[in-house]
Amino acid sequence: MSKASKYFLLLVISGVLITPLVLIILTSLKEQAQIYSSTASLLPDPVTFKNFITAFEAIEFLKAFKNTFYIAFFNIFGVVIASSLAAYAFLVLEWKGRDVFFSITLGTMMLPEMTLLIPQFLLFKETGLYGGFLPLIMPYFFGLPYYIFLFRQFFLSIPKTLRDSAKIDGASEFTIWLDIYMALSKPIIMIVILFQFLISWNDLLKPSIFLISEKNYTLSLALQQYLSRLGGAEWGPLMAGAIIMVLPILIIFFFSQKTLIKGITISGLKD
Amino acid sequence: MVQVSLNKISKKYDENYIIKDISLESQDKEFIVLVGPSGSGKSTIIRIIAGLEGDFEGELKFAGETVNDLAAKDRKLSMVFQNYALYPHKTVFENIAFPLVIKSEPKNLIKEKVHKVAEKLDLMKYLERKPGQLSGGQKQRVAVARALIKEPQLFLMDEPLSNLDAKLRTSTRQEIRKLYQELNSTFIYVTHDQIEAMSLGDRIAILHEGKIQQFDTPSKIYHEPANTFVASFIGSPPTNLLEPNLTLFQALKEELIPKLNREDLIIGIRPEYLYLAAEIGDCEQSLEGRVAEQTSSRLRRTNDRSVLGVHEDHEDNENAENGVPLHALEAELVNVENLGEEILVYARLNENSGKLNGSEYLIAKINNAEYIELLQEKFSSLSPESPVKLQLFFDPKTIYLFDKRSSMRIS
Repeated sequence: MSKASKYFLLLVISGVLITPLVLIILTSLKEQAQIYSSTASLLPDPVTFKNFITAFEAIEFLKAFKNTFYIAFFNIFGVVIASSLAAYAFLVLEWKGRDVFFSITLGTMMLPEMTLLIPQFLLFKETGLYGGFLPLIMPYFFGLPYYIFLFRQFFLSIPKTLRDSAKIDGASEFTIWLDIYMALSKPIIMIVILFQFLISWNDLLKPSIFLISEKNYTLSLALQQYLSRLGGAEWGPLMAGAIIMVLPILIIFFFSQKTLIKGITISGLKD
Repeated sequence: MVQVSLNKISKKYDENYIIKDISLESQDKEFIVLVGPSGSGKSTIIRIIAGLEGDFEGELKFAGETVNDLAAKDRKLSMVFQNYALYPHKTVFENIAFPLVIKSEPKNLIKEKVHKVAEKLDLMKYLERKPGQLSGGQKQRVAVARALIKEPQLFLMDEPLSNLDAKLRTSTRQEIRKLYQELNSTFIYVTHDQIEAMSLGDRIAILHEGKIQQFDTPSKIYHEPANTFVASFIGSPPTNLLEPNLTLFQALKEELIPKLNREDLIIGIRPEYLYLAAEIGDCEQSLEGRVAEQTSSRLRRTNDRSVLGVHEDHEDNENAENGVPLHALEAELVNVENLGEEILVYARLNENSGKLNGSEYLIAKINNAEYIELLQEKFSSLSPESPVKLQLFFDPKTIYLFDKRSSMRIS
């Protein structure tokens, strides 16, 4: 393929991908009358930020933002600590049945998340932990198989003699994990933080199952509730809400493109 | 002050023994070298001593006390690893200080100690650098510094010089020996390099297939190899091992009276005890492995050592010292390696002279200048059509005899 046709193809593809986003932005800046006007027009005239204010108030943005951030923070904190500890145990420590357990852990990756929701729901309901943030946070403190695998793969690149040497010098397993393995794993930690942030931020399914009280709603859930309240009529505020929701992610994407791409290559998601 | 003692130590992975019944005892403050080819179990032994391998059979004692179940950190030892095992994210200072930081020693004391050690090993300039910014030799010194700072009674070194280039290896070897003399501790050193072993060790344990083949001083090991493995491992190049043919066997028997059948005998000849006949390529003078009485007058001294019976000024063999006749091996020149001072001659042994055991070529070490030139000349004109025939002579008194079945030396 010639260079010109390659660029043309890339332009077309990015055009397809970017059009909805552009439309969302443009619509969010239009007045209700213009959106529903029988003569189609692309650019907002006049430009208005009213939709943003409406959406901001309707979904109680600050509260929802705080909730989402709170959940994402503890998800990340839990998943980094637990997954790396588990990876350390699966790779470095020697114990009976280790490899079998590791296979089982990896095997659980095959289970679709949906199948876990009902048992999880029942578990939290029976134990009375249902309703607050705990069901959304606690599972992450047990680690996730995918991240365990990522950490383990990364730990494999750390020479075993570092641990041997530290052991002879009197370091405990915890010190070795923290001061050597984790200290050397900054790239993979960054990647896990990013991945998990994106997942937690965007998650709608689990908050909609586990959160009852409106004051606990996350951004995605609040937005979805707002959407159903509107019955699909008020496109302006809805689009504005979507932009508010996506904005943090866009900003993070902008600053962490390189890390993210590195993460995708390291994790083998892409050849 | 640690006397290390291993009593019948075995270790297996899956169902196979990596090492089997290793018994070894160091004197206090002795420099012990474990040497062997890769897979011989030497690293496993040092890791067991260090406390990095659990689950072994037998008994490990330090200064008379069993330490089988003592954690690595409580064994009061230091270890230097082949890849140095420096923490890449820590500075040289932090690396050296690590053992003391773990023990939560006061900061100013740590600083004082690190500086003292760094000064000794000429590392003051690099304290703020990361290991990635150091050369191999510097990294190695940092690793030694980190080992020194604990003031251990027992030093373990697992191939510490393997990653250095040849020149640096030689000088660092001297420094390690110097360090040992200053420190007054017991050293246990693992290497696959026999020159390193010979030059460093007070005593050397030679390992092969998980067993100790010989444990003795360098000179004993060199001059009195316990078995064919030791003979073929020590010396560069190592001892030639061959199964004698009938004529050779009979000729030897008269003088050496081996109690063995020919089929059970392996003879070992050191490359430096093989001498060339003066006329290289003289095909007419086929000796058929006979005792080389007639030709001995034409032999010259090909080495500095005086060859029994072949002094140029003793033309008459009868007058030669002891009058012991030389034996000849017939061979064909394959390769010549010029090492400057001396030359290594690789030759294919003719079938009528016997069969080599475990190696392809017979190797002779020649250091007579005349011969070196002559051999070079012959070698440069070597072609498949015109092979260069060699007669290699040896004195029966300089050879080793091994029992083929047990591979042990009989004389």
